[in-house]
Amino acid sequence: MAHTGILRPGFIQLRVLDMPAAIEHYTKRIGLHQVTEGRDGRVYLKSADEFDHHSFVLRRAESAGVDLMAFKVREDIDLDMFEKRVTEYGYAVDHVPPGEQPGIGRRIGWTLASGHRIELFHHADFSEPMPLVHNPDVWSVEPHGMRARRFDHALLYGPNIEENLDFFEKVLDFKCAERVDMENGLLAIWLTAGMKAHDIAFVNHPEPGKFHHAAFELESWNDVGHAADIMTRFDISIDIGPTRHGITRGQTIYFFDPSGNRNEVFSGGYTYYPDNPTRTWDEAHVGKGIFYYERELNDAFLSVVT
Amino acid sequence: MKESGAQANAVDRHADAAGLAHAASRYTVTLEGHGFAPCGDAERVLEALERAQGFGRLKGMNFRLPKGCRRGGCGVCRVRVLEGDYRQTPMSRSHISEADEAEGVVLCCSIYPLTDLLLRLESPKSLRAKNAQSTRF
Repeated sequence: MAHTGILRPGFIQLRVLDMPAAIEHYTKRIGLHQVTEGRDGRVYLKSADEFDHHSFVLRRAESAGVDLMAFKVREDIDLDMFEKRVTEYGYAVDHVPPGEQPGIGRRIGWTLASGHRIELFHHADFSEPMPLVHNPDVWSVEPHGMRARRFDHALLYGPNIEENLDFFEKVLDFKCAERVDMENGLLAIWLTAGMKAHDIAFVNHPEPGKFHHAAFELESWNDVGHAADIMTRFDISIDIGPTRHGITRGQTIYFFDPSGNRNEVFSGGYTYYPDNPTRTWDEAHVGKGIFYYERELNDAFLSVVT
Repeated sequence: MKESGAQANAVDRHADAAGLAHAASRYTVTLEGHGFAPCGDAERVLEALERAQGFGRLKGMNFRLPKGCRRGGCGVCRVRVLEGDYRQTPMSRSHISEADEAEGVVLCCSIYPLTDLLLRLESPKSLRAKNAQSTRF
């Protein structure tokens, strides 16, 4: 197995203003399942196509945005190896005990130069519903809502993304699949730990710790169209789409949850191999890079975040 | 002056039913210096203003109404309510402080009219700055 170290995004924890509205949005509309509610009121969600305990955490708060994003590592001992490397890079690492989130083992965490909290964990219990493994039908529970298959990636906004790029490449062994360079410097990076075109992305932004979107993967372009039908029927606030990204090639819709956190549903995107060169975009073509059909950024892309 | 967020949310989540039940309750939302928009009591004020701007009914605006998340999180649609009553759904404290709220400074995506309203765009300068920033590239 060539894939070692960091495997993939494990979960993201978002702040929501209205928990019942958020649960309705993420379960009935996006198509996730509620696994459990913690004693502190946090709600744990997953797709029926994911094995691990949960991939999406909601926390009731007075402001919207992101608390943290956690990646899963292949072996427990990887946590010790990464703790050493992160510490040597100069970031203070803290420890989150097993069970702080239900079904999840010990975690290590730190704050990026962009102001975002990143965590690593190894152990996750399985939870129902999950994919079948013996003579597996294509699903165990009939997909509903937008039929999200997994929490796929997040785009985060903050300063010092040059340092984020250096840190993710040197310390976490990510590769940079694509980047946008403006005349006045680096605007954005798309980073991958595996063979997806991105697991996490950053856009340069003056305010630290900001959240642009969390994305759910769908099976097909037809499912993106079905998701658009759901958004109109249930008056979900839309940002842009259905359209395509030039960057990653994903077929996509940006929209908002009931607290104003941006979501994406998308399908497609190319396969990235670690020996592939980084794809690059310049200022004259960034519009096409972000929104391939419109060929220009909308007002909200660089300014509307939580 | 304001109803509880929970009650407002209950209405919001059943917007279809509320829209039918209250179809007759329409108010006039006036944007100071620019014109007015009809707005149903189950309708977000921002969306009524966006529609009015789309129909060319708001005058003297050299910028588009700020269109963000429309769900109380991103803070781009701050207004000051000068006259009138409204109900509200939750808004992020990162953008509307308790002091703001007490003064009637709100995100107009998250208020619904209970009477006719008179509004003033709260920070058009920063919004223009934001617009300039987002078209810089």
